[in-house]
Amino acid sequence: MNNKYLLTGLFIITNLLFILSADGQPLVEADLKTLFDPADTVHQDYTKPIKESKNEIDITISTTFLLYKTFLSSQDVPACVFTPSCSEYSVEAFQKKGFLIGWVSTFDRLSRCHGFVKQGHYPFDNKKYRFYDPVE
Amino acid sequence: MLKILYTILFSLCFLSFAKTQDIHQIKEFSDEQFNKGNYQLSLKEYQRVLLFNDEKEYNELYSKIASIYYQMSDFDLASKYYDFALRVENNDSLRFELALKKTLCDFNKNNYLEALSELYDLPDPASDFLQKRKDLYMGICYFGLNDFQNSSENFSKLLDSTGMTKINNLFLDFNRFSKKFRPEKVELMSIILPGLGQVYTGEIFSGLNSFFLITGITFYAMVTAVNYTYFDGLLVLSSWFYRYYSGGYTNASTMAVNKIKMEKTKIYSEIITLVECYHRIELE
Repeated sequence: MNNKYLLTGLFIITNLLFILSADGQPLVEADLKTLFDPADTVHQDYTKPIKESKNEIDITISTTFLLYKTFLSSQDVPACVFTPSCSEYSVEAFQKKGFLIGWVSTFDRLSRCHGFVKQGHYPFDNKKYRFYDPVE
Repeated sequence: MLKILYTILFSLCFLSFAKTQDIHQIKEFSDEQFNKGNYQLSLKEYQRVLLFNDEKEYNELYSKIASIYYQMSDFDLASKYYDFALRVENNDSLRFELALKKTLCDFNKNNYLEALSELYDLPDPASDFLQKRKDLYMGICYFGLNDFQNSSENFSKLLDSTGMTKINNLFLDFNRFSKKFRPEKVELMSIILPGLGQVYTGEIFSGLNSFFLITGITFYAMVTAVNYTYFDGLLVLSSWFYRYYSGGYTNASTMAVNKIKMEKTKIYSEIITLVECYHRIELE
């Protein structure tokens, strides 16, 4: 009987303490403030390949890539099924593997980029909603 | 036989030095890691504790695991563990807090309908402060669903008439803004004249780019048609024109959607600041 009263008393005190301590709490938590922030508005820096160029061929390819990305790709429908996109893949392949292998890798990638790619063929990037296929 | 006996005795000597980690030690270690911010490690160890938590003495760990998943932006698992925590918690006020945290996970998943259904399921809170928090969450929920009338009704419980006039004006402005940059309207503008929708949303460079690109492709197709055959002209036009023409108006529509989202973020931030100010004044 005594235990029952003790437990009830403790329960009331805990609740009262919680209610009293709540008055000092902020009404709006920090997590609530960041809701509705626009998701992915970060613009990619396409001048990076030019800065990383080692020779004249690299500079030519990187500049073509920059012009393509600025004037053509920005106006295109989002048709590429991969991330990084075919043009980004191509520049990276030329820079990492040299002219000949880079050329073959680009051709290989373009031939694989089509609407028949299915789940399971490549890992899927949920954030970009594209298949992940980097230069290896 | 004697050899086996010696081996057993020798092994038993070392057994006295051996130590095993019990559930309490793992819990202490996990808490230490949690406080240090090593969330991955503490998560693993907390899950180990829960596995051996037969006497249900560490039920508060569900909420801790949920908060780790929340920190890691895995809102599905965070919501699942807040649900577990709700089932084992007996204190009404703490249950209320956990339910609000679960709702916060739904907010982050942009699942405002589910959040609303959970808020309606909540019992009447024990304190005025918790009631205010519920009203705030309801207001945000309706705001997320673009139901500004209900949102305004819930925010009105937290503000006075001056504050409400401000919020209603913000909602009116936003409605006007949304109508002005309606994605369908902007898309139609770019369908009629390539680049017009982009210019209308303030993306002048993109608009001019689209206009000159489409004009160039059309000009090239016409030159091909005159110099060769009309069929050749059509072939040149069809693929390139389709890609950049439809790409242009799709871009215009996306730009309008983003512009509205940006405005919504701005308005939300103003509302939250207003609510915070009123609450601070009330406390003083």
